[in-house]
Amino acid sequence: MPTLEINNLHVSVENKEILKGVDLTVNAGEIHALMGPNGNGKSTLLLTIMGHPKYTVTEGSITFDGKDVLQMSVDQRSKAGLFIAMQNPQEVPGVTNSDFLKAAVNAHREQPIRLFEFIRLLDKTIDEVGMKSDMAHRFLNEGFSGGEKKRNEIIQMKLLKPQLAMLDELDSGLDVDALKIVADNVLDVYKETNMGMIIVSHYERFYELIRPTHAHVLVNGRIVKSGDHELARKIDAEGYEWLIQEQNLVLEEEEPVRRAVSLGTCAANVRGKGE
Amino acid sequence: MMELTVNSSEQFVIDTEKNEVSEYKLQVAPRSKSAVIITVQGSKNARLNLDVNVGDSSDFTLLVINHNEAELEINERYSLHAYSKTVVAHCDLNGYDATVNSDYTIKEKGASLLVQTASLTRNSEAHVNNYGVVLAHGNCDMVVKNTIVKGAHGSSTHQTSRLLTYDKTSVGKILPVLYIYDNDVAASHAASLGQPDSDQLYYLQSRGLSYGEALKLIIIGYLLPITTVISDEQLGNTLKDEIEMKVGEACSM
Repeated sequence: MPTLEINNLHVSVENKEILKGVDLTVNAGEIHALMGPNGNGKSTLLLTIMGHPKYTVTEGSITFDGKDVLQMSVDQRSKAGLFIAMQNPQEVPGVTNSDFLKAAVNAHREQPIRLFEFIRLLDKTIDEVGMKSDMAHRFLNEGFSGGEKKRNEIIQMKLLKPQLAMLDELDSGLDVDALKIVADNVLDVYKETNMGMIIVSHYERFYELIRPTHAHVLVNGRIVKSGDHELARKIDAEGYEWLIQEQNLVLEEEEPVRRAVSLGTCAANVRGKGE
Repeated sequence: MMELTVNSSEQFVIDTEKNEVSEYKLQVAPRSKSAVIITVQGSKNARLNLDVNVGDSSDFTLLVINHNEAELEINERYSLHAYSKTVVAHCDLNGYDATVNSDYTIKEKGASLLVQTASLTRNSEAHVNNYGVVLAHGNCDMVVKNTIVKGAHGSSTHQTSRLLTYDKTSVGKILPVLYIYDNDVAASHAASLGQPDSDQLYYLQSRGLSYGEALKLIIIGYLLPITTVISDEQLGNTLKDEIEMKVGEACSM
């Protein structure tokens, strides 16, 4: 069964080093909880594994099933069995969910799926994650609530059946009932495929449902402590302060994000009556 | 010139091999609900002149589908009467030069107008609200002009112009223009120009779609709103299939 191996991974964004030597091994059937204060590299690690162009690997290696992941394009990584459920799934206006999902399913098959088989599969999956059937005809994530976007990520995971799934704050935006439905569906895929998982979450409630086999804490771009589910419980109860003191760490401050502003709309001229 | 009173659905096919200049004068019957679809095909440079008078309280849709494999010039003039509802749509998927000169006059109160275009083009010029995709090595100047005449009290005018550039070899230019000759109006224009959103592309690729497949899906989604102006579901699906096929061909070039 495939193993994800990360060795001495260094990653930069716009010449600022975010990851500073991450080592991690995830075997099939293992569930790894990845924790850490905000802005310390958790999402960077997952997006780097999935080939986001914003992140530059400056040193180290990532292999999956013995193959060099860093040499693969984004779609090749998906076809190799990697999957990321995103923290902020993109909205794509004009592209219906069903068209997108069919294209994604077909990308993982040698022969295109038959239309009726796809419709039956999609209807069943939508029902299992507790979404309304009209989601298939809505534009991809456009106008979706936070919870609907997260459920849509799970629909994609269920259809693609990856060998390694990375869930980036999948639980944010979900109410208690939705959290249970999502966790149940994640576990269904896990039991069916024996996939490995890396889960980023700040909440023990999600980990109680998923029951990670391993837990890691990422601080200042490095994994500073590893353990099992007990470590996740301890952090949920006590926070990170004890760990920072134990490891004699100084949290690096996040630089304020400067975003370019694009003026896509200009010139509004409205005059009231009588002017 | 073909003169016709319209009170139901009509379809016309113009063959530019036979008619290099076609002229239609349409009188939309008051209180009617009707749609006219004009398909232009052939391979000769051609001109289409449209003179449309939309009767009061009518509901009228006109769709022009351009398959002509040569230059096409459309000159259209609309007069909209009281409480009429008019939708004009231009679908241009051939990549040949197309120029649309439009003149819409709202004659009486309560009339409404929606103009929508979808174009997949290398060199085109349009004078209406427009969604366009500039293909590789393509060049598109989109000029969008609205004139709000003196006396158009309480009117509301909004332009939206969007151009999607395929890659670094695509050149696009949008010139939104509003001529306003009255104070008592609301008017705005919005223009956006740029390449497909890299985060959207990444998202689609992360599900196994190649760069080309992801780009194709985004372009199709960009052009598809034109199909919503047609209430006939079958015709809407036919147009959708056609857009998908043409985008597929364009993206594989």
